[in-house]
Amino acid sequence: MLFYIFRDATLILGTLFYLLTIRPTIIMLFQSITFVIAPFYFLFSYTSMIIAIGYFVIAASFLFYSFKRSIIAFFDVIVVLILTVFSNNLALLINSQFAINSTLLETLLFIICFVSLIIIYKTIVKKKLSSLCLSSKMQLFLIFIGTLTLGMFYLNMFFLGVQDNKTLTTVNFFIQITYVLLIVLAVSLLVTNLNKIQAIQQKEVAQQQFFEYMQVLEQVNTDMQKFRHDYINILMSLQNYIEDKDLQGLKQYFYSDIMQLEQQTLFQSKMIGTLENLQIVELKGLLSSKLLLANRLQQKITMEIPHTITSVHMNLIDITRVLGILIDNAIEASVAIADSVVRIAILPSREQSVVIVIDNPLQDANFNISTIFEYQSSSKGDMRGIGLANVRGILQNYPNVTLNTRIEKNHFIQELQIF
Amino acid sequence: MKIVICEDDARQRKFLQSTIVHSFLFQFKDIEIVLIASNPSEVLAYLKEHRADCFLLDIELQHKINGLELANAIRSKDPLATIIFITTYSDKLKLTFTYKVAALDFIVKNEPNVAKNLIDTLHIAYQHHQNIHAQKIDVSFQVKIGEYTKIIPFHDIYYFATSPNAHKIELKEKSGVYEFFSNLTDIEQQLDDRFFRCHRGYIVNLQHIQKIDSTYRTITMKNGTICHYSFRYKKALMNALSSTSNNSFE
Repeated sequence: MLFYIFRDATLILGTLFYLLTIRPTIIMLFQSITFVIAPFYFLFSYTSMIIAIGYFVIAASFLFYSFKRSIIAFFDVIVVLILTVFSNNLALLINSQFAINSTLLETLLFIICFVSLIIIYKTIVKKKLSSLCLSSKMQLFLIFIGTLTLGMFYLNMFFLGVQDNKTLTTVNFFIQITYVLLIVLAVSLLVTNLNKIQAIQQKEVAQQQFFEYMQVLEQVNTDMQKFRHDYINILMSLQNYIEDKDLQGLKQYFYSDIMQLEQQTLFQSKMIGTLENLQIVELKGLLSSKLLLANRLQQKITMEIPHTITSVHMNLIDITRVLGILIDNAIEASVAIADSVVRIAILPSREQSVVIVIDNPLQDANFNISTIFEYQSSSKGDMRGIGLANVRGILQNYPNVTLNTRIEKNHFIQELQIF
Repeated sequence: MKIVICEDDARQRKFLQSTIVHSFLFQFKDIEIVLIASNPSEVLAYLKEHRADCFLLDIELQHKINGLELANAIRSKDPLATIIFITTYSDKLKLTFTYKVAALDFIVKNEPNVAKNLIDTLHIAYQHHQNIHAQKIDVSFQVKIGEYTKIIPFHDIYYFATSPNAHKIELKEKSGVYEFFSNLTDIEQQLDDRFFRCHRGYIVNLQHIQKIDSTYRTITMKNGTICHYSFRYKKALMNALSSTSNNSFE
């Protein structure tokens, strides 16, 4: 018996040295014998197997922790023991399956299995684990799982053969509960992680929008500078007209040149000003880039946001996409019509719900409103028309959002209500 | 139709009064201007004892109650009153007023065709008033959007359908599609005989049916969209169809 114990213990300790890449010094070996192997034998002889093994696990862990100064030591001890039990069982199984009762074969099988598993563990698993940079909470969790698994293995080995039905059922019950709890824990961890990932993605979208908004602000600023610069010239011209008492010329100059300038430059900054009440960064970015787009296309656009809006009950990525598509459509339809105005309003309604209205003039009196939501139906030719179908697809996931699409007095109106 | 005017500038008041008198009061005997006020308090005081149908309000009133607040006060007393706003500035907040106060329209003072806009809008207000009076409201369906109630006459509705997810109903009519929260059973009670519940998820307007296909159990409406009917309603559907072709609704 002593021989077997010695053999097994050495095997385990040796593997640990290998796994943790520690060069065993004489002192270390001495400590191993004194603190782990000897007490283990002692406990094994005079008390039960459980206490002995329990001691072995704890002592070996702390010993190797002191050698390596890393929490991985604990984990590796558990892994080695699990693999030992596993390989042992596998060897026994194969042996009995082929009804060859040779201890030599059994030992051989054991060694093959054990060694290959250890090598796999060392080369692949350990590398993966260290590259993952697990938080200490995760590491403790892994150790906890390992200990539980080991406990169950031993429970399996030492209890299940010899007990009566009642104890068997109780033990099984405990094993099952532990298993279920483990799964629940693992799943919840997974879910938390997924949520974190999604939060990060949303932050990225927000950042992108913010960036676009900043660009728009910079653009406005540049335009303001230009305006200030031109201002002096304008005043000089006005002065000329006044000195010459040229009222006609003055009138023309004023209406054609100055009011134009006012409409183009200050119009923009006025519009950006209306976005002030919209305290959702992502939407600010989207709307300001749409305003810029409209301005570039020389399409008049008004934005009505009379009251502060801090949130909408809809995923920000989705609402950005939906509004983007609807506003693009509105602008595109209006550009063709002279003197048209695209009107957008974001209005708070009862109980934190929001009404968003997009209104653009319509040219085609026979516009068929039934088919616009279908995939690839476009009044602009083939290979287009996926936008509104996408909108419908996105909104189907929201039981709290409704969309009205209608034509009234030659205007095409989209009313999006988010409750 | 009783009209109330609230405008603090005397010249504007005269202009409004003369426009209305000249364009309307000869044609329609039942339109009268019951109050010309110069500040909101007069209007509110008047409304304590009397009522009116149409209100022409200046938004930029130099008073502690501005036009918008006055409109809200009127709206709370009388949800069906027509409110028309008059403003000096451009119609920057047109949608806001439509959806938050359910204003009928916006007139901009300094635009060239103010008079024409005013008259057109008053025509619409008058029609609205006549509709309410003639209780034509009963042959229409109401959908609320923000504070604005859109009235859709039954005549224009093609069908109601349930939406794939929770409690949303889709209303398809001649000039648009609406979505709102309700259920078909409640809606059925508000409708009249020209509508038929042909499926658990559809109520169709019999007058707009183009053709029926028995193999696929589909109904094609006049605008091309397709509804379904279920087997157990088939007989009743056929009966209802033949009886409607004998009647005629407006």
